[in-house]
Parts: sequence; structure tokens; C-alpha cells
Amino acid sequence: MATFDELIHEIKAFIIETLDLEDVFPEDIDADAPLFGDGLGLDSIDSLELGVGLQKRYGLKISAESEETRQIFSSIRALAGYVAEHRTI
Amino acid sequence: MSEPSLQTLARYWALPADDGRPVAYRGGMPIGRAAFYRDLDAARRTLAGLAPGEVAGWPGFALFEPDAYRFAVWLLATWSLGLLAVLPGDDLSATREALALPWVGGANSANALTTWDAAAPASDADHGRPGVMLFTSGSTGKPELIEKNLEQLRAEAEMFERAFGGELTPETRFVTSVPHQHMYGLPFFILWSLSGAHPFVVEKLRYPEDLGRLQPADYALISAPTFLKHLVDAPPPPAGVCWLMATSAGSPLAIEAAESGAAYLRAPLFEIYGSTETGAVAWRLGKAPWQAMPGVRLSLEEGSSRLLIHSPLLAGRESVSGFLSGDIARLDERGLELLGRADRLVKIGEKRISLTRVEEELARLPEVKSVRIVPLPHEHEGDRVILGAVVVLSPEGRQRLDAGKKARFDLALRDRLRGRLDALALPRRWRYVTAFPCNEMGKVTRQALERLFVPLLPHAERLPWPRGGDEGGEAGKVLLQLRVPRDLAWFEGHFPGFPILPGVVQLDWAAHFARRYFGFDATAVGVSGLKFQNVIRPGDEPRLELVLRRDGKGVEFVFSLDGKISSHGVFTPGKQTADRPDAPA
Repeated sequence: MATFDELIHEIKAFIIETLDLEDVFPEDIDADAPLFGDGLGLDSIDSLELGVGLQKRYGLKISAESEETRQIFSSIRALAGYVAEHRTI
Repeated sequence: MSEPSLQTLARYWALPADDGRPVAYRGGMPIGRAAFYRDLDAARRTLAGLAPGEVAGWPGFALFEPDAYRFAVWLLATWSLGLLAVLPGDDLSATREALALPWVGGANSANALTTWDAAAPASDADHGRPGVMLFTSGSTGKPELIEKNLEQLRAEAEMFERAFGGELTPETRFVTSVPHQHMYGLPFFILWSLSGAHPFVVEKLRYPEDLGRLQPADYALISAPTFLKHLVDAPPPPAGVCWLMATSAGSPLAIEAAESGAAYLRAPLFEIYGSTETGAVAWRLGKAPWQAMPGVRLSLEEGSSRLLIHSPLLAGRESVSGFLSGDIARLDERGLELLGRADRLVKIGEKRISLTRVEEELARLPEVKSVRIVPLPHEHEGDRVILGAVVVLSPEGRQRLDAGKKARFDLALRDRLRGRLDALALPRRWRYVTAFPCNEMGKVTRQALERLFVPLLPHAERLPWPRGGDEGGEAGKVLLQLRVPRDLAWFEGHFPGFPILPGVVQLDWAAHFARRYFGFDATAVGVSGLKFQNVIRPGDEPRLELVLRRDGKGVEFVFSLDGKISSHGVFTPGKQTADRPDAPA
């Protein structure tokens, strides 16, 4: 089983891959910075793509626009924690 | 020589009979009207001996001739035979192949003027039929064939004489820095000078230094922003050289260039607003409001505020309400103000994003000198559009970029825009250039800007590791489904007619993904066991397997296509059997 740091790295790579972020490598992303708004500055279409990607990769169902979703996407670290706990794949 | 038809043509273009005044100057020597008529006659006989091709039902030739005098001769000869001239923008082999017409002009047939000797059938020009077809150099970058009949061309030359003829004397020589086969140089330089009986200078101005070599005379300059902005570096006009006026068209003239240009020339510099489709529409001096050209009426489309043009140059091509331009405008008693392109709105998600607005916001940043935004289709995630920014940095911006990593600089610029623009409008792709790519008309085309975003990497999607059970799970193992874009930059010239993915690029991709997924730096190590077995071609969907060795000091990679191995190797310290490639040029 991968360590939590490895999972954080994996999630960063997953986001780069899913959103096709150009010239960005995992080490460029701060694990504690918000994904939306400040930080990575992802937009509403990205959140949809990430949701779909998370379902495919980790078997996670994240309901759109809930307060919980907001919490999950608040940072890479928060997302990794959620993935570790709820993944089915 | 069939006098009647040529005289008809001469009258038509208001060419006086041989009055001793030159038609043009070559190397400072005048070319008299008698010589011009002799050349016209020879050209007519040459053309009469050629079987014309057909374009859109009209018989004609493709005419490409870099020499302005010979171009004028071929053009009038073509018209005097009642034929159409298609004016391509270049004579590259691809253009020649695309235009299945007899080709006139250029180095190949320059001598033909005197060697062909066929009898010339006479035919008076039918002024309603197309005279030229040209390719637009529109901002979409896609060439479009546009037809102009002789009536439109004559009307345009007359319009210029009415608008600006008061600035000129009969002896004023026309000189230009723009190509004469486009719908700016053709009517302004060739047709206006011919019909107004002003001589033109055959030699083009290429560099500002050329201005220092002009003979003493009165001149009118037909030019474009790319040339005019360099007038600050031009040598002072030689004694006896007097500029009476200048024009600028093709792309917007910066106010600095308008002011420095007018100051250098000590003459009015008229900026022309128009397009290949509409002809000249309006003019202005400096940043004053635009004034309609004589005979042109302007109005606005209700609701959209798009400019409606009523012009004799459109010759029935507009609807009753006028020709609807792509420009949003404001009209009042002082004149016309252009507010931007209507098509510069793109829909992202459900939001309409103004590209002009994004550019304005970016241009406010101290890091940015100037910027162009290009909408890019985002290939793999449905139909979303992302924005690409082509940025000329200020010295401050350049310093910051050089001091750190590009990705962080990209994100920092995005950061600065947040709160000022919708998140959907934040550019996703960034290119930093020292100058925008532009064509010879000085126009920054969308096509040239888009080329800066040609992909260098495949799209990659991670798949579950297929043999997850063995050797202790998935950690350190990545399987990627790649899609190789057809327009990938690396296919260009590798090889013509048979594009294959270069081996060095495969190595580079393996290194790239090893870094993304393992944080493994392949630049510091060598490659061993490298083997290329099968080629990868555009549009292929190969898989890439990456395995991080247990000690973390090596990465094995395998590219495969339909179960067959394309290439494999190991990034590993120590023994090197191949150098890691530099980024291909």
C-alpha cells in the first residue's frame, strides 16, 4: 500500500493529467493550497471533470455542489484524505 | 496591335496617350508611356497564345509577379483580353498545386514578354465581369477567394483620388513597402497610381535605410505598420526628397508609430480601415475618429452595434441594409469609433467571454507588455474551449520568468487576473515571445498564433495496472493510454509523406511521465537496453508502461501498440548506451 505522501503525489499527477495542465509537474503544486479560487485556480468545468475522473480512477461518487464537495476539493491534502478513506478501486 | 481595345482600356483607366510622363521608375530611370504600351502589347500577344484555365466559370490565369511594373503590365494585358487574373499571395509549390491554372509572371516567364509572337484577338473589357480574384489575408488565417470586378476596382482607385488626390501633384511618385498582389497594395499602389497617372517606383522599400536612397522628388508612401514603426530608425530624407502623404493599412497602427511616422515624413499619415471584402471604408489621422471614405455611408446594426457599410465598392454584394462587418462600433457627429471584433466573443461553459477584455486585463499587469488571446479547442475533454495567451513580456516580466519556473510564472499571472475575470476566462496555455508572429502585411494572424500551441506531448490517461496482484501491488507502476495528436509538432519534416514519432521524442515522453508520476529526474541518468522495434504514427494510441525500480534509482519504460512493443529501455545511473536527447528543434 502506498504511503500518504505517495498518494498526495499521485493525486497531483492525476489532476495534471485530468485537466491537461501544461508545463506543470507535481512538485509545482502546493498540497495545502486550495484547488479552486486562489491556488491552482480551477474553474467550474474543471470541478466536473475532476468529479468524473475521480469516479473512474478511484470509484468515488462525489455529489456536485454539496458542502462536503467543497470540503473535499479544498486542497490536495483534503482530497487525498478523502480518496484514502472512501476509494473502492 | 489591336488599337481599339487597348485604347478602350487606356481610357477606362484614364491613361493619357503618350504625354511623355513616365509610368514608373526603375533604378531611378523613367519607364515612359510608349514603352509601357509596347510591353502591354507584347504581354497581350503572349497571353493570347496561352490557353486560359477556368475559375468559377471564368477564363483566366494565375498571376504572380514580384516585380511591380511587370505585374501591372500582365494585369492590364489580362484584362484587355477580357480574362480574369487570380492573384495568389505567394508562388510556393503548394499554392501552385492548389491553383490548377496556367501560371503567368515570375522568374519562369519573365522573358516570355518578348519571345512569344501570337496574334492577339481583340475584345473589349466587360466591366461587370470579374477582373481579379484574390485571397483574403483575413484574421481567421483561412484563405478565401474573393472576386473583384473592374467596376469595383476602378471605383476604388477613383475614391482614393477623391479622398487624398488633393495632397498630390501629377509628378508625385508612389512608393510602397507592401506586396501589390493583396487588396491593399493592388488598389492603392498599382491601380491608383496608374489611373491617376502618377508614376510608381518599381523597387519595394524593404528596410528603413531604403528611404535614404530615394531620388529627389515628391513621394506618396503606401505602407503598413510593420514598416512605419521603424521610421524612427530611418536615415533623414535625402535633400530634395519631399513626402506629400502616406497611408497605413493591414493592421492597427499604434499611436506612437502614427506620430513618429508623421513627424519623420512631415506629411499627413492616413490610416485606412477596410478589408479585402469591403475595400477601403474609412480613414483617420492619429487617434482622431474615423471618417467615412467618399461615397461610403455607415450605420450600426440595431442591438449588436455591428458596423453596417454602404459602399459603391461592394457593388451589390451587400444586403439592403448594408454589408454587416465583424466590428462593433460607435457613430456620432465626430465620426466612427471602432470598439472591437464581434467575433472576439467565445462561449466557454455557458458564459460568453470577451477575448478583448481578457487581453485588456492582462495588459494592465506590469509583467506584460502586450498580449494576444487565442481560443483553443481542448481536444480530449468534450467541447470545452480553453484560452491560450501569447505574451510579450515587459523587462520586469522577463526577469521574473527567467528567475523561476515557467509553470509557476504561468500560475502567478493567472493569480493576478483572479477576481478581475471569471475563472473560465483565465488563460490555460501560456507562450512568451519577444514579438508576435506576423505575415508580410504586418498582420498577426490567428493561424500563426495558434501554431505556437501545437502540442508537444500526447494526451495521457492512466489505466489500472493490469497485473496488479503480482510483485506487491501497483506502487511504482504506471500504465498510460496515450493518444498521439495528428498535429504534433514533432511530425513536421519527420518524415515528409511518412510521419513517424522520432525515437528521441519517445525517450523524452518516457522521461516526462517518469517525472510526473514518480518525481524521477531522468536528466541526471543514462539509458540502457534501448531498442526501437516498431514505429508510432500520427493518431496512434500506444500504451506506455513505467516501472520504478525497487531502489528508486531506475525507471523501466515500454511503449507498445496493439500488444506489440514499439520501444523499450531503462533510465538508470551508470552505464550509458545512448545519450538522453535534447529537446528536438
